[in-house]
Amino acid sequence: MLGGLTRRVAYEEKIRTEKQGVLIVDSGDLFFAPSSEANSEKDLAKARLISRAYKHMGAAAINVGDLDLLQGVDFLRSEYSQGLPLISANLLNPSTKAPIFSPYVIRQAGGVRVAFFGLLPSEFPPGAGIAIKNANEGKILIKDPVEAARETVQKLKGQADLIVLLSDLGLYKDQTIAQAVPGIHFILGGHEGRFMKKSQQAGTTHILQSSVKGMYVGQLRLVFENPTSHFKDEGEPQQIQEKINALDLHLRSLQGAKERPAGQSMDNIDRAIQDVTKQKNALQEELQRAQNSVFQRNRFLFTLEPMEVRLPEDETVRKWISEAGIDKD
Amino acid sequence: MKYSINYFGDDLRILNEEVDSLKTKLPILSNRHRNVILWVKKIGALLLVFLILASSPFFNQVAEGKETEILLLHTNNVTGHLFPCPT
Repeated sequence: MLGGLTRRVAYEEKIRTEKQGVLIVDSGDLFFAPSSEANSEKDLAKARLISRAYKHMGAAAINVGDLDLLQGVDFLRSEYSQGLPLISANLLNPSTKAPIFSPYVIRQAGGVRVAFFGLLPSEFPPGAGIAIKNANEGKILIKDPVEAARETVQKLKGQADLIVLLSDLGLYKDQTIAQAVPGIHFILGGHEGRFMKKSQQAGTTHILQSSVKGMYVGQLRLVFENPTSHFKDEGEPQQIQEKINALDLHLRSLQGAKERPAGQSMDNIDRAIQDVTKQKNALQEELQRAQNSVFQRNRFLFTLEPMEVRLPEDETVRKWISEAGIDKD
Repeated sequence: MKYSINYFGDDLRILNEEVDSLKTKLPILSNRHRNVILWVKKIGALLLVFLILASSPFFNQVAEGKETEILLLHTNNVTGHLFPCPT
């Protein structure tokens, strides 16, 4: 069992008290499951609790995902008016064509100006799509995400040191945006809820996702030195080392097979040993390069922290849930 | 009230006497002292300008070569879950 709002709040608050320059963000689809039924009192009560907990934690930015519209945009408007930092650069008011929520926010962290902007898909998923359309008839207009990204990044130039897109578009569209709109340092994505231990790079942008259902908290540690240089993945040397270790194991098993020949010809085993050794040597050179390139550059390390049930819970949030009379999802 | 020339003359005379008495009580500043005071004033003004500029957004940008660490805590697709889920 992993996850739980009370554990997540306790965990994130603990980190915030221990470290400086911590910002809490969400990429969207925070409030409702795809199966959420229209005007469900229980789902709305749960969503209000989540909103309250994120305000309690002092969240920096929360992107509006398509599923967040399942109970209608008015629910989100109400939470926004009560201080929830919702953002979306492409969710517009159909009458005025102006964004319903802030298109972006700029937060200071350790003297660095970090800009977050948000995007949601212009097409809804087959299942929940009808419910989203019904709940928002005539109330929303979704602009093309690439166009909205281009305009927003243009506005942010000179205003921020670091640009982060909180995206509910999915990995494929995130890659498209990263290629089409240079200048985005990171895309913290979602929509599919992938478990990504390693970042995907598109152009100079790194794309990451942090699984589903609050089971993990993605921790993106950034060491920022030079405003003009790109970010290097500090986890890369470790990933290469893991590959080398796997090849070492393979080599040992091949050498064992050579000592106890059973069916395979010696020539085949020798050839396999040569191939694996060649791969290992190439990886060792790559490791050396990766270790050198990480030195003295902007760098990042992404980890997914499991929210295990043994972690402490936030008593305040637990009390709120209990007072709301909710004991299961 | 009617003032006479003599009235103002008396005032000026008293003032001159007070200035003379102060000159004897207080040490006269040498040129060197005056220069030191002027230098301190200039440094003070420069410090004030520096403090104003340091607090402006332009100078708040990240200085190249200075490392800063930021930590972003991220979630996505929580989809209304309040309680732990089976993995």
